[in-house]
Amino acid sequence: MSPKRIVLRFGIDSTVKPIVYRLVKDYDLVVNIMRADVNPKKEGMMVLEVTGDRSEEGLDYLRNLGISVQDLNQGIVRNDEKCVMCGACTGICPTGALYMQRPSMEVGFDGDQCVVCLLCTKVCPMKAMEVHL
Amino acid sequence: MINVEGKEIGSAGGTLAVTGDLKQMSPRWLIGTSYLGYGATLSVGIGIPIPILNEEIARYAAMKDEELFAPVVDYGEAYPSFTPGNLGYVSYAELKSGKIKVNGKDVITAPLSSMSRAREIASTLKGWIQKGEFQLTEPVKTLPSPADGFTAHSIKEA
Ligand code: SF4
Ligand code: SF4
Repeated sequence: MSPKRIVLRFGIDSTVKPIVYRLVKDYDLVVNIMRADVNPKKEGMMVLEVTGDRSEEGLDYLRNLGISVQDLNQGIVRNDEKCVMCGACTGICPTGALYMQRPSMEVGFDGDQCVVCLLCTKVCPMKAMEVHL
Repeated sequence: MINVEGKEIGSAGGTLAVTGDLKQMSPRWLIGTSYLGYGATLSVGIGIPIPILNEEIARYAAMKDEELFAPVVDYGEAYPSFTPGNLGYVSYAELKSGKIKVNGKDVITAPLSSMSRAREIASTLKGWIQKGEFQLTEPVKTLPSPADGFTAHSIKEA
């Protein structure tokens, strides 16, 4: 069972529910929180890595709560028209999703490694890293 | 450039002032960019042929990454406060490896200019030269130098 990386976005009311607990307890999933931005009385987001046979059921449970569930690699895309392969992003990307290929010095992007921290969207001088919601 | 042991080392840096007709330029080589913490600027891709007129030029033009050095500058504190000096020199080979040593510590490196675009420019220029399409012209005007009483001024940051 390979882990599934998902992005959750929730409204003000659903942040109070113990969703991670439910995923673990009711659906027997292994949950790894990769990134979370959750504040009381505010919209929030969470990036999870979930592993388990019943992950689809667990995700349906989240959708029924009105939480938007998306595959993580849909989150950040590189606009290849804009990217000039300068490499500025490779020094800041915390997971190595953006990396220098040596010796060609071309910049690779592996969406599976991306945790949607958004640092590259600020650092890229060409504004080539785009957030797709 | 002289390193700590007083040895002359190859300097890889330089600043060029150029002029050109904006309307004939391609957006592939001239892009408006924005650097976090620096501001708006232009990213320019430019190819410069180096005529190998003598052995000295040949020697400099043939220098490898291992022989070209850049100073490590502290842009956090030293540079904005006009503190002279640097944290040592590193070669382009070290910089391109992705890691350098500064004061005994490993520091990650990342480029800011595109090597792959640079190669593209170089091969385009090579193609023009081989086909005889690249022609030299007389300089329109020479640029002022310190010999003409030209001095550079620094702006103190608040
Ligand atoms: S910083 Fe932007 S333009 Fe440079 S390699 Fe990364 S994505 Fe491409
Ligand atoms: S969002 Fe973060 S993890 Fe993803 S590519 Fe950009 S810097 Fe890397």
